[in-house]
Amino acid sequence: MNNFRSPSGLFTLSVLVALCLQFMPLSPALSAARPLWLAMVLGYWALYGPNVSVIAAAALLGLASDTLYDTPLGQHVLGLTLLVYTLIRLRAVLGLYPVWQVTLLLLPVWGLYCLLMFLLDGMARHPSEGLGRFLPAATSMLCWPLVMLVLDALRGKRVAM
Amino acid sequence: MARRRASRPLFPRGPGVGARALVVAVLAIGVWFADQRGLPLLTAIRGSIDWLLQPLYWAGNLPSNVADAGGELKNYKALLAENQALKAGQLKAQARLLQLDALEAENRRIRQLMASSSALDQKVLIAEIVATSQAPYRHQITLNKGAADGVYFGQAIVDAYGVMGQVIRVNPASSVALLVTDPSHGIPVEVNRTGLQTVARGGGDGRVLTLPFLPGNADVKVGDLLVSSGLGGRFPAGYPVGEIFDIRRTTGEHFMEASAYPSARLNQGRQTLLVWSSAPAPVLSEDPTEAPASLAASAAASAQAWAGPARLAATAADEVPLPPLRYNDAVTPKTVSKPAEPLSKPKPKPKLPKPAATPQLTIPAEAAPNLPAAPPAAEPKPKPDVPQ
Repeated sequence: MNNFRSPSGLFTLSVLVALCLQFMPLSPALSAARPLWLAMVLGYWALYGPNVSVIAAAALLGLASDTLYDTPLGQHVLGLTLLVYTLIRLRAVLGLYPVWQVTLLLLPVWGLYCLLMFLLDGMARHPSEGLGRFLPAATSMLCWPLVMLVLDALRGKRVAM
Repeated sequence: MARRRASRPLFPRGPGVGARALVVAVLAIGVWFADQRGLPLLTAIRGSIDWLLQPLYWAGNLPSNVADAGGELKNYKALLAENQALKAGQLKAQARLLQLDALEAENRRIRQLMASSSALDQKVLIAEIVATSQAPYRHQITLNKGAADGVYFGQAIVDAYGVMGQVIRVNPASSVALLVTDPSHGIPVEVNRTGLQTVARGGGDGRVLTLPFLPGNADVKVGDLLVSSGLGGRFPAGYPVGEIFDIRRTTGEHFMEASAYPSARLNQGRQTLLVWSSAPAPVLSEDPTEAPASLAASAAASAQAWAGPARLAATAADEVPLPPLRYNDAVTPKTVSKPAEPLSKPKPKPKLPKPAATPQLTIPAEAAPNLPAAPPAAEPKPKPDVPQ
């Protein structure tokens, strides 16, 4: 089912949906475990996408995240850009593995993203609690197959389990 | 466009990606440091990004709005009952308000006697909460009023039950406020029962306030109401802030610590009041220059005549950590309050005792009990008037 002929249309749509999911109001307990939707969708396009300019998108979405989270401008820009760059570098390797292995292999990537945000928050002297910061990395890992399969299906790509 | 993209290789490993990522990362780091310094250009950029993201707030609130719409269609009878209850409540409040008008006038006269202006009737603006911070370790809310409505940095926000927090960022059409429970938030408060001055800081878990560094002998009890003291000029004085539910004394420590639940219902409701507090700042700036002179004059004029009442005041306000020193100094010898100044620790601001001290010198009896608890003092009286 090849609904989206141009990948950039689906790219824009997926990113906007991710932005909404990322900032949809949730109760504090659920919000603490909210997966990194933006990072996952950008990561998907960096890993499997055609050559859309994911880095520019990461920079723009980073600015939006900084505004919405009220962090110093540049914090999420840096995090998302580094994440996307890492995944672009890894795409030749990770493309060989089946979904469940990629899911496991990406856990450290989400963890490092959370760590970077944690460190930058600390440098900006925003008090932040410890281990709760890394909960999103775990939930992101759990949600990754969902994101991947949905986007694959929308693109009409053959799903390789 | 699409064809050109499709003709590119599937695995682009060109030199472009690394260079672009590097440029963006370096820019991001630069901007991050610049934003820490509060560059005005970046604030403007943030404001315009926020303006562009307004549809997102709307989309994010869509689920709850839809749920609200379902609830609104619900029940005619319930609305009728609610309407009646509200009317009754409004009548009661009106009666109480009448009483309050008289009290306010009285309070203003007394304050004029004290040569400090009244901050009681303030300009307010209702703002709607359009978003709460989705980072669980930050207690922030986004309001739908911004610089266009006259909102300013540091403005206090309250709800019907107490102080909620203060504005920390003003965008053109929205603003971000920090709640009192955020760990980086502190608000000067006084214990309503005793007048003890301290600072309430956010506990960080979203539910409590902590009062660190209370003197070990401070008279604080579970159930004490904390009201904003207005020191520092940022928060209007007299609004409820919290209620103490726990006091911890550590053996061998000089300080004890108390915890309080915030009075404001921080995670209920969608409306807040933005308060324009105008008066407190000039009061504080005038105070240090004028008060010593007036104190010196009154003390010199009638040292032994006032010794009695002042002693009484000193014992009544005994729990305030520093004032006892000051009362004695101001009344008995001529070295007015200079020796007390260097002793004073930063937390209970040194200017405070003077407004409390002057009324006892000028207006002997009936003004004193009114002063520490101006707003709640209205409560016992109106009861006989309510049935009208």
